[in-house]
Amino acid sequence: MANWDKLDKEFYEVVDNLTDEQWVSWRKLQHHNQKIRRFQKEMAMKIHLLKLSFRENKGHSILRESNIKQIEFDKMGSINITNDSKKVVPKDNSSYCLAA
Amino acid sequence: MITVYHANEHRGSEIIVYATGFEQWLGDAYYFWQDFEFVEEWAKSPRNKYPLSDIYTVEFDLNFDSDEDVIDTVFNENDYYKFVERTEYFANKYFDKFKEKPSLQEFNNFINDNNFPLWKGIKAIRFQDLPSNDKKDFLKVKGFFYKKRIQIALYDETKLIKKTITHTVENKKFKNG
Repeated sequence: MANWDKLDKEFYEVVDNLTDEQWVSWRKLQHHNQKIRRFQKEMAMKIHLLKLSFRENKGHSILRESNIKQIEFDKMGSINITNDSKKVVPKDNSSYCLAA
Repeated sequence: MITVYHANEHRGSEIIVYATGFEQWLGDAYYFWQDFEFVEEWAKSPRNKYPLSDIYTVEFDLNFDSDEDVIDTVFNENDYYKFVERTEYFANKYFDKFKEKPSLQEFNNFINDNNFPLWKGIKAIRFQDLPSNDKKDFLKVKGFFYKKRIQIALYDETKLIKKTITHTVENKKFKNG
């Protein structure tokens, strides 16, 4: 069993003492992060499909259709998409995931 | 020690994924099923969003130092009611501020937020729902959802002990890839 005396103390101290400004600011950040994550997920799926297509030698046609030549992620979710045809890099550090 | 299972699409040497999506029940974590029949079902299910990949199912042991490491909402009555109380306390506060219910992600992010480390010290949460329909071979009584679908969200990978890759759902189309 978890140590609820300890957990509750921390929990209620935080929840009960947040100012309105802190709530609003925190919520804005969540919505911003959610947009980034959604975009990451979409990109991750495209990368996945690209990989599968390359394995079937169809990757070139998908790249041509999508006009995306480079997709990069860093660990904090910054995303860079370019049309630089010299680089074709599915550099895949993204957080695409399947639950359990 | 708890034996658990994790299923994932094939991605080279990586056999387990740290889930960071916004659809997870219990925030960013390693997610496991406790019973093989459910992980097997999940691995073969249309819910798998990468249907053209091979799926690996891996067995692990989770080794905790103390019962205090885990919030066990499945088998511990006190943990369950405390968890419910805390969830609803947060939800009510949120509703008071914004006049709508928080999303699942907002709840989880709040609990796991670096600024508010409210799960500090907690290594895992055990949670459950029920099978969604009775068209399952592992439900032996028609219309009776008597089996818990138990999942574990693990926040500390040092508690993981890999055992074996116990099952593979092989996509024949790419089996040589």
